[in-house]
Amino acid sequence: MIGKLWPLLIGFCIWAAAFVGLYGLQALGCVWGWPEALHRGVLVGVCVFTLAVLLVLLRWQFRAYTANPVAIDRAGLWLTVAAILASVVIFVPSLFLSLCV
Amino acid sequence: MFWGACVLFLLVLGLLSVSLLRPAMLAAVKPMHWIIGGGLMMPIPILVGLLIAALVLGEQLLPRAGGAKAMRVEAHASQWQWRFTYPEIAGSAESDVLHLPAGEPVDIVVTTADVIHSFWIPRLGGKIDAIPGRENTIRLQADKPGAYHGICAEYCGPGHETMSFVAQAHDGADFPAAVGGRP
Amino acid sequence: MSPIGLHKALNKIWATPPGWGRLSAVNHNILGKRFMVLALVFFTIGGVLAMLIRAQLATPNSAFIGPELYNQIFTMHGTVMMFLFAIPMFEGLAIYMLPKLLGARDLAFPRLTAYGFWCYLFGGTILIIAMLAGYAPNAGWFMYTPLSSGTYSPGINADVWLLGITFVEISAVTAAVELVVTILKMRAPGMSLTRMPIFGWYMLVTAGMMLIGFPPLILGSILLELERAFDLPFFDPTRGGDPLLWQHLFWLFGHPEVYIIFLPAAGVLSTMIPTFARRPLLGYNAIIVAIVAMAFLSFGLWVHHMFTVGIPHLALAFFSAASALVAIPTAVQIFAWIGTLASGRPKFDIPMLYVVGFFIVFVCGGLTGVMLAMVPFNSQAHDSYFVVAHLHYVLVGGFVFPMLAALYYWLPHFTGRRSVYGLSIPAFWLILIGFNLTFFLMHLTGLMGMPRRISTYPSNWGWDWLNLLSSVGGFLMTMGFALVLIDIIMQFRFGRRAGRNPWKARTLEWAMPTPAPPYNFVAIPEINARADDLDIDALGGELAGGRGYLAFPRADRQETLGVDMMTGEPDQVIILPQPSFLPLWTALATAAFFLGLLFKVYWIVPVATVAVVILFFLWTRPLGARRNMGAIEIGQGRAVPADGEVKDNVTYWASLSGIAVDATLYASLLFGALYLAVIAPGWAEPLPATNWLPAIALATAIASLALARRAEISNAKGVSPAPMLLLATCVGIATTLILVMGMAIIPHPTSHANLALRFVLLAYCAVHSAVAALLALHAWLRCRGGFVSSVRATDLRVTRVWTDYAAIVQVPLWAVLLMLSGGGLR
Repeated sequence: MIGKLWPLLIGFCIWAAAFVGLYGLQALGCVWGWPEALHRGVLVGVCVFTLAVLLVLLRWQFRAYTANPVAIDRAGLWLTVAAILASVVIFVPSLFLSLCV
Repeated sequence: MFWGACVLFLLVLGLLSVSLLRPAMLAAVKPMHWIIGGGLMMPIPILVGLLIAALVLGEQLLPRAGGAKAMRVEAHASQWQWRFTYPEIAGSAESDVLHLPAGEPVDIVVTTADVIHSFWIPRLGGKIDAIPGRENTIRLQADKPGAYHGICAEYCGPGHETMSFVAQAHDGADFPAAVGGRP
Repeated sequence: MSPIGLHKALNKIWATPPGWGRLSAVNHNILGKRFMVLALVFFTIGGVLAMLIRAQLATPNSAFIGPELYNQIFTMHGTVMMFLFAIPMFEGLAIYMLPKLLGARDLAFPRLTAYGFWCYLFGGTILIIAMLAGYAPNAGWFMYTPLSSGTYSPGINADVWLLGITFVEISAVTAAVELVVTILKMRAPGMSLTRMPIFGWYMLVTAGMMLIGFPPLILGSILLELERAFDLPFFDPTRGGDPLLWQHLFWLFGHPEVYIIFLPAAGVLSTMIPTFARRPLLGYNAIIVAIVAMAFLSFGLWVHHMFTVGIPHLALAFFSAASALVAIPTAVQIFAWIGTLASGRPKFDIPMLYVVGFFIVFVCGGLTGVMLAMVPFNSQAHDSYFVVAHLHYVLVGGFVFPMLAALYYWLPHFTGRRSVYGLSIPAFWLILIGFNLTFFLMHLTGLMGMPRRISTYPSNWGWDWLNLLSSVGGFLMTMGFALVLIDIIMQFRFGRRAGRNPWKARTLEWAMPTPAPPYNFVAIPEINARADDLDIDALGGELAGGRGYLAFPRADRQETLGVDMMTGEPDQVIILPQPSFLPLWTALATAAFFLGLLFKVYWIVPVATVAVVILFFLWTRPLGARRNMGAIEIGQGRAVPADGEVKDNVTYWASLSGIAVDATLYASLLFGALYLAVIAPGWAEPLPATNWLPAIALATAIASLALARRAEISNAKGVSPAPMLLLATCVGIATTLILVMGMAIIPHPTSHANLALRFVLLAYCAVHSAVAALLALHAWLRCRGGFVSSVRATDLRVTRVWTDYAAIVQVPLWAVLLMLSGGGLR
């Protein structure tokens, strides 16, 4: 249904999936008593993976846009940039904050 | 934070009134610069700086196991009263008044017998909810001896507003006696 | 045909019958206004409740109303303002305005609009009658468990909230589906998505958020009502439930809700400000980016209502950062508006006064919002009057002020008359001054330690004079609102006649006579430019003269155009249904369902369910055709097929939107199951394993899926799909029965949340198998009636997607049952 609206949604959908994943893994790690290094490692891994996926997406969207400049795709490009910014600011605390207190 | 907010508020309203009353003064600003300047350049550094400060402060306030040893006090909430116990003071009695040693951090462990309540002494800091089936901890410190007022901050039924208590901070030496502990 | 003759002919086709026939109205002009008027009635009720609150709190130790009554009043004030005023108000505005801005003659599903209206009216009435009878909900508008659960709220009060609000939510969900489909499919030819007026974008994002945002609340209400009525323990910590699950579900709805309310208001501002700045909106694309980003971010900050429940700091940090970041898309919009004004030639009128009021109040609320996003500050200010101040600054600033601006801006559209200025200006100042006096001081009382929701306070804490001034301000504001009301009546009675387009606006809604005729446009225009920068005066004349599409009456059919989602090329003629009493009857049957649950007269519930199903079967009778019509003339030398003969039609899109709602509900339920399995106390003791016999339902569901698919394929080849559909119905019924048997063999589902979860998960899948079976039966009836051919296959497509869905939901079902059978995730 929303086929051609994907450029607008995809970046933030990835962000949302990572957000839910991080929140869930943070809780699971505490419940299962993971050692801090493992717990933090997993969370940071998810952050890095998300950013990598978003950057690949951005590159791909940029190419598609330069090949065929459509207004919707330009908005999609900016939304992916916004999703990257949001991921950096929102996920960075998993590098240093207390995990289970 | 308050003064920062005032400055931003005046900035936005100042720009708005100039744009309405003296549009000529702002005609030199390129249209897109409004969005890039006001919507991105201005808020992002402010928000990121504020976030870092808040997270660092929040980390310092946490009741972590390591570091300075804080005494454990238990706060038991029920509709509509608070009772306090002092498991680390041998022979101490349960009390309606929360006794605290002044000048040292105390971990207050909050539990409830029925609905959700929230433990709050406005002059000492933040609040923590009492959730059925859980134990929540907040670390507080009363710097000076004296009486502080405490309340239930989460709506808990028709006696909600009556559910207040007094927190009495004592000099370190007087504290065990105040809770009926053996010296 | 002459313009007058054309008007008369179209009016005859689109008109609503007089007298009792008014109850059969399905036209968006009428229903949009009904929604808004009813919302204003509820706003008045909520306002009176607010006055009672301020009267009680004006002085310390007040004995005006006791705590029992006070608790009902503040609960109802919040509930009425959020659910019965704010949401229906913007729904009404969108229902009335969107087809006009987009160049359509009505919404995609006029009878659904009417059904939504009746659900809103009846649900709201249940709440108000309960309040007058002294049984209003009293557990706070966010209904935290366990205070709202059976043990601590034994009366009917909490049931009134859960059932009444869920009833009203039906109208929100139907409106969301309808708005999404209308915006994507029903625009003027040539209006590509990127030419759509910005209000269309705002409403598209809002409606999309509603599809995802409302299901968690509906699920939470269902689970809590199941706990209260049938003792299934989802929130009871002594039996493996967790009260925090309610808070998660509630705020997963509740925070996006704030943006769902704000975005339509921002859309209104983005529509009005260019008119008064006399230049096109600055940063159209930037605003689209901003509102989509805002929509997503707003789903990532619900926990900032729960900073003090004992969640680890890192998790709080995620939500804190998201709460701070959401200020950026807001700032983009604020500066786009200021930039539009600064680079235009602004002129002043009453709506602009309220726009300035919006800036003052909303910016202040946004700044306190950033403060509250910071964990340490929040832990101090949470649940204090600071939050009360903040939320009123955001909601009144971000919704009420723009709506008042919209009222003055579009009142000439409703009345065909101009404002009477004498009263409008003092009313504005009373509201602005009264509002700030009331709520600015609450920041201070909050910082001085006054908690929310107390019915009285002692006099020695320094809160006395602040509260007294707040109350005085509240009454000033009320006088202002009363003046606005008088002003509106005056405008109806004494306003000068306004010509077409009194504000010299450049959007399509002014390219029609005012008050608007039921068919909106005599001719549907071709749009070749951005649709918020059109030469309306020229266009209005052309359209009135019948130059455009569908500028003729045809066979008494209500016709409008459907277009390709992206490009706006016309691809179908949408034939809309005539006025009908079915929405009213269906809503009455729905009301019987809810009242049966409310008064615990459970035999009514299945009877009402059957009645609702039969009535919905009747809905499709006037739709569709018994023969293929092929391409139909639409004027301008073009011809397109009727909507029943294309694949990409509004019914199919509505099914997909409905599945989005349903899937979100299911995802919330699965989240609840995982949440309890990971976090809830009391999951240590061993529990009975799952009986796997009902898993054969998965096989039968896949069989129905294959049958529905076969039916569609053979129909496309010209072979009758009827036998396949009948078989799919039978298999669907069998699947339902097996799943119900699975529910029945769960031992003591009331003993533990683990078992209760298995029960509701199976129930969810059983309901969907039943829906798939009913749709297959319905498609079979449609085949028998001759409404299905190899091109008229919508009924089969709809059956197929819901049968697919009913099968797919069983996959996570059995995975989660396996996990629950193993005792959770510990």
